[in-house]
Amino acid sequence: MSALLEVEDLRVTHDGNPIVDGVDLTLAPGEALALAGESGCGKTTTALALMRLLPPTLVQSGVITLRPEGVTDPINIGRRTETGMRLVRWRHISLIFQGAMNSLDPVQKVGKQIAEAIGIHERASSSDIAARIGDLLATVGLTGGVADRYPHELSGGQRQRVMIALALACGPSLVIADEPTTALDVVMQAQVLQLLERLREELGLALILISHDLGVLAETCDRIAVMYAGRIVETGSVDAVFAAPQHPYTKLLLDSLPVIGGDRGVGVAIPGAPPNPGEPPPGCRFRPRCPYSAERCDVDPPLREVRPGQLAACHYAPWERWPEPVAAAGGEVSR
Amino acid sequence: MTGRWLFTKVGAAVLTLIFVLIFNFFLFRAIGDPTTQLARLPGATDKEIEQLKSDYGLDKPLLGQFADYVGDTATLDLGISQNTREPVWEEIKDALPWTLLLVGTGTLLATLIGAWMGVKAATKRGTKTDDGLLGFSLFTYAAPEYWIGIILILLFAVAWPIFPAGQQVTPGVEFASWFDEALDVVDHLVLPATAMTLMLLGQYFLIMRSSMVDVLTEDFITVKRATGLSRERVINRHAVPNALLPLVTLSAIQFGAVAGGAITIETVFSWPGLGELSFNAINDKDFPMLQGTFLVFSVGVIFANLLADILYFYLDPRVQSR
Amino acid sequence: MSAGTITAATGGSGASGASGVRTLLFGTWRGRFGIGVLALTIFVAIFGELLAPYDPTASSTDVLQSPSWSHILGTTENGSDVFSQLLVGTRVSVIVGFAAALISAVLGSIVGLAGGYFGGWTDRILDATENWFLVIPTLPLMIVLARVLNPSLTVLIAVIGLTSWAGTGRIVRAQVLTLRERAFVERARALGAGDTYIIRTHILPNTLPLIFANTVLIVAVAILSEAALAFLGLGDPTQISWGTMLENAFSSGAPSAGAWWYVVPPGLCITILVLAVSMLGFLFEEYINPRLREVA
Repeated sequence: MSALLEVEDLRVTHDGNPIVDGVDLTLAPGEALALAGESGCGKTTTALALMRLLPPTLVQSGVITLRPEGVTDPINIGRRTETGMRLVRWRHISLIFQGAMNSLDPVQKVGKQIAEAIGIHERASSSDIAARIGDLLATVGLTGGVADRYPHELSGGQRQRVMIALALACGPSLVIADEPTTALDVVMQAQVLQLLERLREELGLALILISHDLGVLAETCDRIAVMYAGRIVETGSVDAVFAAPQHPYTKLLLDSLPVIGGDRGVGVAIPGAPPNPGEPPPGCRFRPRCPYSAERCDVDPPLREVRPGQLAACHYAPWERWPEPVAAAGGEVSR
Repeated sequence: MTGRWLFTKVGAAVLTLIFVLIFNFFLFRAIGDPTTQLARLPGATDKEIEQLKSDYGLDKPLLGQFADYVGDTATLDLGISQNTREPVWEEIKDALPWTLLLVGTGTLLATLIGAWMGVKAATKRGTKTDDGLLGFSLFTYAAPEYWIGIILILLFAVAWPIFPAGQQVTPGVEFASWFDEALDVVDHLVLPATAMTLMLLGQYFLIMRSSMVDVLTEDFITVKRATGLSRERVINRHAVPNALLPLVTLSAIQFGAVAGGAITIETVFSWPGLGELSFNAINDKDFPMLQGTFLVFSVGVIFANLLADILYFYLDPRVQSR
Repeated sequence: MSAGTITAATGGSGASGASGVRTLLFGTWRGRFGIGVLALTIFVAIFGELLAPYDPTASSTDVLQSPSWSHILGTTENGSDVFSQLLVGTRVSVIVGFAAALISAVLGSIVGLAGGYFGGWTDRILDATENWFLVIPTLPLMIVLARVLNPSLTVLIAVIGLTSWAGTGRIVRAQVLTLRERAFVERARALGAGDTYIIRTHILPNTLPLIFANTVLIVAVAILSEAALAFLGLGDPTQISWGTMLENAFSSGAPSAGAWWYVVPPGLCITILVLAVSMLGFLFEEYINPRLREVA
């Protein structure tokens, strides 16, 4: 079965500075891919690039191929014109943003906004559309009456569900969810994730789930790609990567998750900050913050398969076990 | 919910109005005891002055006089014009529609054109179009509106006599129909309304531009584009309606300036509105008339502010459920 | 016109620090234009009479003559030299503009400070007064005051100053309200510092830049106000100003006579000076805005 989405060497620059610096991704139909990393690592930019929604100040390059079911010719997103992209957006790929607070037009009723999206892609009578909206709302667990409400009249959780309903309105094969649960409390978070999971099963949706919260990603996704400074530094199945991370950044992210039954302290945050896009450090970009860096690290490590099905960009991978970090971040560990 | 909000707004408006009355009352008492003016009547004996005093209620204590003043104002008795000897209110009543015509046309055009310019500038931010529009608005802000009016006369009434140089109708002409007369008025309205529009344009432009720039950064704009809408449709159907909301309330900032502009522009064009009444009152030192026009201008601005608040309330669904 | 609401939409600049001011003033074309025009205007305001080729009040029989070699901007309805009047009239705009703005700044600052800092009934009354002045149409108010008080330069300055302070007052009050709650003020109070000390050492230094930027914009408003009042006949009858020039031009029928040389220059001078001052005001506003967030 051919891949639903293939991304080759995606690059996005701003004034010549790389924001996304050579990203490769593949996604099978119905698969859920997690895209993880700190804020600013390029996750959202990657997502927007997939839909060619970047502002004119950002320049994107690379091959993006979409093969939705039922479409004979693969869609070359990178080469499409703007008019051509308008046919692809929402019909084949849709998007859920974080903070549904601002994701809907505040002065229009919710139902009208869903109807507008459907109307762009299909010729349907208003009664058909109204019925569709009712179904969509029911699918996400909302009553039909919600369609007559304004966004500010709904709770945060309801708004997020409306966003999901909107995202499904044209029957896409791929949904990108960018931090869909960040603005929600834990209970609503669980509900939304369960909803996404159920929809995936029922509709065979592929999902790219973007989050800085690894716990959320572990629940819902099959595979994971960890991004740092505009690049993918590790990728593999969620089970494998979580059980045995092969890149120091992934390891530190996992370490920062609080563990039930473990110490009650706040997780260890990773000291330091990601590099400026215009000034990448020489060699491995993670080196300044890596507690395990050594001599080989002054050469930029390529992303390579270090275990079956698992790729990492670290010279010292595969890691059987993680040594004690002798020095703080930036220090050298003798091997 | 609505009732309470409305009550507060109207209450504030009434309070502001009361202070206008207080101001008016005391200001003209400050010129000097009105009896000194009455005493200028040739050959007035002390007894006649006393009689006049009691006629005008000037022998009552101050509070009583103020109560009289408020009562008179409420019944639209704004005194007698020192110049024409006609009731002030009668003259104001005749002049008011002309001012409303001028000011209404100017504000409407300035809002429409200014908003359109604002959208253009915001969507082409940082380009020459944006810079050009900004420069143009800055110029119309800095240039005195009466000067613009005079230049318009120089250009379009004297150098190329396309439009009349003043007044509201061509004097001494018999019109075949109501429609013809209306056209004549429109002909006379063009230049003064242009001056008024240019005066107000800049502020509306800047507000709309700023509002659009803010709206365009919102997430829902990206979401709308993501659903497959074209740029134009996103701007016209989603960005502009949201950007127009602040324009309604913020444009109230200009209402005071509108009154001032009415005075100077009507003077330049001999337009028979409140502005010209004020100008004549200045020259003739006609204090009752000045008091009267100041009062009416203030009422107008206060009322316009109230209307803007109510309009915003009506338009923004978010405010309604507060 | 409300100067405070025309925000710095004229483009930003990322300068900061003391040298930042210099960069802003001399490095941007807006700054250079503003400083240049202002400097020239002040120079002419001081030396107007010396620079004028004729006595501006001297009449002659060359009535409403178009520009010629002897009168480069033509003559007025009295045969006076327009160019000389233009030069001498600069002084009034400058004096009234700056003096009125100063009064407005002081008054607005005091009201805003008192209301914002002391709160309670003081604030309510002062704020209500402020709002009244903001709502009431300014020119009609100025007209009424100026007519009652018989116009002179002093009266003009007083009237404009006393009616333009509310904008400054509102900005100062907002700033004081924010500062009042800041940690460093709480600390000072906890250490037993009195109100005067706190106001002098903490509140004022962090508010003065704001007042300054706003006052520059008020200068522009004051210049326009003086011109409008003069045009309507409420200018100082003993002084020549650009506004009185326009008044005389208009009332003597210059427009219908096509005497553009009499009409265009005074208005153009007003426009350019107001433009220059406004640009400087916006520059200062831009400079101050990011700085205001780094209050110590």
